[in-house]
Amino acid sequence: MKFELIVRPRPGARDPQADAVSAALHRSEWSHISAHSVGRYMLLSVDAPSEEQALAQAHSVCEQLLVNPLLEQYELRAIREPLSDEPSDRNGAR
Amino acid sequence: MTTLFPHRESSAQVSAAVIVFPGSNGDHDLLQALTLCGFSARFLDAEQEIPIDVSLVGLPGGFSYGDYWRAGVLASRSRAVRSLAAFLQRGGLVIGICNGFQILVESGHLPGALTYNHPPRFVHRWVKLRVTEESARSPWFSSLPSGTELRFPIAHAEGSYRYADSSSGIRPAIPLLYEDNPNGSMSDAAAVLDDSGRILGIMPHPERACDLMLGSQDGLRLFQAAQRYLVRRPIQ
Repeated sequence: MKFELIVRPRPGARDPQADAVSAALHRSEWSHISAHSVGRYMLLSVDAPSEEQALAQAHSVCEQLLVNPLLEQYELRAIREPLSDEPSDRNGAR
Repeated sequence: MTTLFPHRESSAQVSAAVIVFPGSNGDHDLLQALTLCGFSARFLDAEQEIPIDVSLVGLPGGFSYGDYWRAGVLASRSRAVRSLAAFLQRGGLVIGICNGFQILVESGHLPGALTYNHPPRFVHRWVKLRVTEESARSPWFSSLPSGTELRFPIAHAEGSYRYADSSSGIRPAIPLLYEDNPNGSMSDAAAVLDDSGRILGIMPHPERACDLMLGSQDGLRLFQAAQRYLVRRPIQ
């Protein structure tokens, strides 16, 4: 079972990466674009007997290791279709 | 000719280990400082358990595991760090400097979290620090009365210390304050102690302040205090 893990700064927490990216954009020809939030992405693969158990284990590793609850929040998205390592143009990806 | 380390102590030898992670870069400085203060110090690979004869463990500065995913988090699961709990039960002392401080926070040995500096930039300069009353119960500060000023260098981009605001007023024990906060740390915290006072996490670099020729000798006072404590109270 595969999951996409998306980690973002908690609401209200400082986001210096977003601030720095926005400042750079605003100095350029993309001055109308801002980075609202900058986080991290991970594709997780979980070996488990059921989807329910895989999800529980994915949450467990997020809460105990991969996400710092003092500073960050996270979202897990289950992936049910086969993944390709090749980039695709699905959902606008390039 | 002036020597870099003219004040080597000659009292009883206490064993110290400096954990070396892939990406550590302050390991040699820390080993040199401990040796200078009378320790019999050696390096320990991150995938080895802490040996039984070791009384002090140092986690050096650097970029352990490339700071991948989150600074210190991968090192926090190394075999050496996982063996800290048993080591601490024997009564040993631990110091984590810069990246080592991040590892101690990520492994749960110290409270709070370290994140990007505010304002967001890498800072590297000498800073003035002041010892607080909260240092009083810690072996690391036994020779440093409250109010003592120290001068250490800093070099970090993710040294902003954060802890959960609590209505109960409980907050981590902060033994050292920045005189001029360089990174947005809450309460101007430059260092944090655990409840026992034996685990010290510190963002500035005492191991790089061990010779006047290099700018300060103040770092010796921490390591000398630890050495004296361990001579008086050998670990089990």
